[in-house]
Amino acid sequence: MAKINIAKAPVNSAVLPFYGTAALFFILLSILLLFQSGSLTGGYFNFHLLSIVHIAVLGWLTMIIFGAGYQLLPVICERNLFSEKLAFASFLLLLTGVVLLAAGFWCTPSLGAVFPVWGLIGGGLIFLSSLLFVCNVAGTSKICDSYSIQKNFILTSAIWLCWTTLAGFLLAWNLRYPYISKDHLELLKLHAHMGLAGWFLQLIIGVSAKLIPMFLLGRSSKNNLLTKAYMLINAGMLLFLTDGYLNGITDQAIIYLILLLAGIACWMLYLKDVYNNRIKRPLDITLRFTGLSFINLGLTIAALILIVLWRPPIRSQIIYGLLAILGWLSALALGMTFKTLPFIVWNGHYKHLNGKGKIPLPKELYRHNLLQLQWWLYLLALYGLTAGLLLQLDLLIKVSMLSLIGTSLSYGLNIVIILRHKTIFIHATTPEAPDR
Amino acid sequence: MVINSDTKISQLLKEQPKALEAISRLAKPLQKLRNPLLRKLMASRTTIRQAADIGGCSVEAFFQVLRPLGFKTDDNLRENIKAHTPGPRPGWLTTLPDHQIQTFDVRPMLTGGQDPLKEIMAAYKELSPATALRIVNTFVPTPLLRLLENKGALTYCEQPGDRLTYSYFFKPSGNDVKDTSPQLKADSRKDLITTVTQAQFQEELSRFNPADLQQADVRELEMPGPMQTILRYLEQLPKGHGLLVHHKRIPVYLLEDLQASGDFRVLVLPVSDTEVKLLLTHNDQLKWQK
Repeated sequence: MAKINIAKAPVNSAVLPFYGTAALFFILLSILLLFQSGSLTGGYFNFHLLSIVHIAVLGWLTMIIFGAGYQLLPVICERNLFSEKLAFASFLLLLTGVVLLAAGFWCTPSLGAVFPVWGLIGGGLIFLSSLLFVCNVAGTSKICDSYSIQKNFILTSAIWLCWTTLAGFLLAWNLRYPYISKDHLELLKLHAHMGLAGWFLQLIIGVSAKLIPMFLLGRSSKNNLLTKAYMLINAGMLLFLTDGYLNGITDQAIIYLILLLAGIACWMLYLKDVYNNRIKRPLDITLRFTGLSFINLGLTIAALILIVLWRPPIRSQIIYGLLAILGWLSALALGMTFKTLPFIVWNGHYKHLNGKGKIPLPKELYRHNLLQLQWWLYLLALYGLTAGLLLQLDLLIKVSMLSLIGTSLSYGLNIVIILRHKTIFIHATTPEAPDR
Repeated sequence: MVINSDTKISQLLKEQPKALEAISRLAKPLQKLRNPLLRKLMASRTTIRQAADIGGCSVEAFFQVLRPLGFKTDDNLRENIKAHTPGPRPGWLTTLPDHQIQTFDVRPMLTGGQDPLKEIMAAYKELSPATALRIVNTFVPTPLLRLLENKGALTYCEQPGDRLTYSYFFKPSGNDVKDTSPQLKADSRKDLITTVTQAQFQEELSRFNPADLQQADVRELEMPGPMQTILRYLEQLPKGHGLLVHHKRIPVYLLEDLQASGDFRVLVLPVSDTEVKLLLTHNDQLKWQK
């Protein structure tokens, strides 16, 4: 079975740029949202909103997942990363791609509603970046002697990412050079859900099935639950996409949704088993974010069910997206950053130290009061925004947006503190005769 | 019930309430046990050996009064009972002239039933750098040694006579103190975890009786197995015993946990990229003294 071995961890340059850049995109995202809060109350097909959403899912979330993935995979698979060069290339491609694509969406209204060619190129670069990610994931996990369902989830999710970015690229092409006869907005839904359920959900299931037992010190032998989840989710997704592409999204979508939910339920049962078999310890704040993320996933699913069953006004789809991206996914990223990044940086500074002295621990690499602040600001931002949109309270929306900026700044500041960490190693006095 | 020098006082009292009367009659400091509040505080944290140190009597004396109450003693562990044998005097003490050693005899306070901890701490604080304090009492004050070591003191104990112990606390000069930054000094919990050299690690290990040292090799376990295993060992680790762990990396998440709880001291010896040795011991010997 897989063991954890930090000796195999990749060089920091293959990992750290992702974290720093993701934090910058998160700050950018929160500032853009403040100035574009009007677009949240309109329909979802709005170029400014498209720009913000892509900054969120690619610049912020995918960026941080790539970084964490390159760190975790070698550790889980007990071998070196397949290629550190490809990892860095995927960083450059993703960064350039997101900047071009997001700027392309942003500028479209002022270019006479024509999507620019360079925005299209951005989409292509993102697709290339996701291909490199798949290569690295496949190459690293290939020689893994242990067959594990967690690895399958991660590899499958990476392949779904490729399909998502390819579909996105083709849709962007259609914006510039219309060639698809089908409804662009319907296809956009397929693209969005490939990303949400294919890429993010399956990646999170794969990673959580490995990490949550580690952090909770729990264990579950019910791996078959994960296998069921894998089959149910992928079956549901494939049926949804095929049917949705051929016949449009109809009431049958409810069947696919049920398959997907059954898969999520299996995953939850697995985690519950882990939770029940854990060694009891106080949960720290990073795990509180994780817990919150699960609550937000529940709310997201509830919103999705409401949308499918009752087809409420367009605003509800914005709330669904908000809960999924800023709620479920961002809460996880905001907490897990402080479980993974300090550990990575700590390894770079303290793994090889010898001699007598005191070393700081990973959790001493960042400021806890700042993380507390981030927690409260984030709660206010997310639920204030949700309530503000539901009740159409502009003031509440504005306050929540400001709070989101506060969240991103406190997060970003903590990231800077971790990344700029200098080795502190205090050599204690040896119990020999002191100079007198 | 079979008892040995590591049996806790609370276990004795639970098994046989009459043990309270028997033990408290052994020595004056042990009469504190009659006070229900102090008993609650001390009994669960003190082993027979520690109580013998405090009372200034032998472990055998405990066994003698406990055997009539139905307790059986574990003969295999007899060897543990031997008296404290100090190593040779360290360099800082042999070169220190007598007039730079200030003596403080706490025996009158102890027999008067007073706890001299506060006065000792004050005396150490008053001490000028590069001089030492000599505490005279009847037993090895292990908690006090640890307490002042945490404050940067170099310590040494010797027993020149029966029921007579000299404990030396050397206060390093200003230059030596600078090595520990004020930030790290402010939080004593940070002192719980220390990396050491091979020689220092061996020296710490040699302080343990082989019977008091448990070992755990977690190198082959899959995560989170190592941390679970170590925590299980620690749950059952008797006071005064040590746990030697063979690990393949520095278990930082475990160390974070232990630091937060403040219950254990950890010495870390990084051997190579894939091997780390850890020595874990209880830290709570201080608690009941305060």
